[in-house]
Amino acid sequence: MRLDRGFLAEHASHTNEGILERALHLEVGGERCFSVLYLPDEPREPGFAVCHSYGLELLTIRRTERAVARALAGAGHPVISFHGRGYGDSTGDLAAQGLDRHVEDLRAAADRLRAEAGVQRLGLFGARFGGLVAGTAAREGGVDRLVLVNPATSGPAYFGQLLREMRLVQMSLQSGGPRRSMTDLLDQLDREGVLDVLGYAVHRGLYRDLEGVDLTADLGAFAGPALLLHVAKRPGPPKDLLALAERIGQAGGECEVAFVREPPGAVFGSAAFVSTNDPMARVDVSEPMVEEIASRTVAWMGA
Amino acid sequence: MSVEEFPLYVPMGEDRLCAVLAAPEGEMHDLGVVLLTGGNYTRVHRNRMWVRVARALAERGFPSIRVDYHGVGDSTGRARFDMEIPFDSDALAAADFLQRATGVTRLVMLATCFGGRNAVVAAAKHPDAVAATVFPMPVLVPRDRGPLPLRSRVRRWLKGRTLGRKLLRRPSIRRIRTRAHAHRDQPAMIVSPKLKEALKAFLPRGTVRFVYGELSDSLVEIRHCLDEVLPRLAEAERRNVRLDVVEGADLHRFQSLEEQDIVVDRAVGSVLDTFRSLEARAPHPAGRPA
Repeated sequence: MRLDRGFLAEHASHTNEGILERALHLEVGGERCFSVLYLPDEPREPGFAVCHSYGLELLTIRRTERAVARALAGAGHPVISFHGRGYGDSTGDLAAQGLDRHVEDLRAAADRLRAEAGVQRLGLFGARFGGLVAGTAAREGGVDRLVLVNPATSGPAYFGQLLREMRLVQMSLQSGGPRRSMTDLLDQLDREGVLDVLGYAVHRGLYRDLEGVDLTADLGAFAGPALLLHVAKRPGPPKDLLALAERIGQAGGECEVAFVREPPGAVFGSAAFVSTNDPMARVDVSEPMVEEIASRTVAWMGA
Repeated sequence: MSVEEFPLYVPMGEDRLCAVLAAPEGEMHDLGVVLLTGGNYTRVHRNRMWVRVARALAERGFPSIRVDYHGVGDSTGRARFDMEIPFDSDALAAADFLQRATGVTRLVMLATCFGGRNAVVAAAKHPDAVAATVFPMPVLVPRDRGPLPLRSRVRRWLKGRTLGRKLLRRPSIRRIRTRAHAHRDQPAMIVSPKLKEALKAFLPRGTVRFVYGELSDSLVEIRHCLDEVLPRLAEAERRNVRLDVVEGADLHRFQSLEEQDIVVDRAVGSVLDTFRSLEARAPHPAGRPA
């Protein structure tokens, strides 16, 4: 049995509606990061890097990230999406993945995009935790545009929400599940270095790194245009999103806040395929929402 | 043994399925593994379970492919999942690709949830499939297509709520339901005819291992399925089915790191068992001890 490397190389890319999509590994710090490049024929500035979310959202938000990447590439902007070290198909240890390494992986992806597509300017797209990473990278400079969807604006708030969701799920379990207070859970994280949040490990290092991150208070060097999308059942952006928009405005950046309605049955960041009237079928209820996020992003870029 | 991985796109008609092929750096065994998920998970599975399985298998000399269905993850196309319309074409395309890229002549399908249905149907259709290992999957379908009868909708609604589940577990309610069931001519839900058909087609030449948690709601369903299928099989074919019940586990939603470790261990173990039993029957010239 021998690998046919030529055959594998032939299938590392394909052309989808005129856009070359190429799957590859980025080398970062001795590890391999799974990436997909979306390369239009005639690339235009800026290129975009997609920052993925955390936990189950790495899988569920991929649907949105893919649609946005293809839409941006369709409008001429080259895009790279990637899995950071310790995530998805990449190698590496998630326990060692502090905030600095998230930004380092993003920089490596952006460098690859520049090298492959010949673009100089960089935009970042991120949803939920991906928005927090994108915002953190933007603080350090070198980012021209931000598109954030329901971004987490502070580390403690994001992880606090994860823990609350975990407690709710555990309370609904048949066995009743362990009912522990937030303080107990954080003590355990401190003591043991890791917390099992519904089958996803939250590591102390990343939690501690993110404790001091609040994008609404500090967006550092970023003063570029930004699009903040609020995806929900009802309009009326949350306070932290408005505060983030205000912060960008104070730095001299133009910031648009737009609302995208969640269709019935869909919740941004949750499973896309759900049963409706037919108990045997699972349909993609998120599709209109995903398409609107993609089209609004492209329209904003063209404005 | 070092592991190599290749991100790639598997052709399937007009669509391209994003996949990662994992293989040992050196010589490999003549047994490849196709890793399938339920519809809402991408190829990596929850908390990278399939990534861990693929790497563990490659370290032991087995190549594998983990794939996004069309319309899911990084693949192209649009998806609509229907329990009675399996995505076996996706599984077959991945299996053919793995064979073409590595030269393996024997295949194992490894799957959870909706992927289990795809795995069994694909195994029945692929001439080189020798085994399927399936973690909890949906087995029952409505007798009549269309909206569920009222009693099933009420039960479904109750099962989705903590108090409802407690109510359904009460002995008095169970007795009432059992009496009502006895008076009913036909149950509302039946074992999927397509699944039964696929099992009957595959079991004469391959093995199917079901791995269920003792606490899984669907354990009763798979037992019901096997009660219907096994009596219709020859003795030798019956020996090709195995139901492993893991004590104290659920193995359905994989919502703890501990349960995920069980799934990874059982998945890798099932491939090793398959390989050993194949080698015991007819050692492959290129085979090495796993």
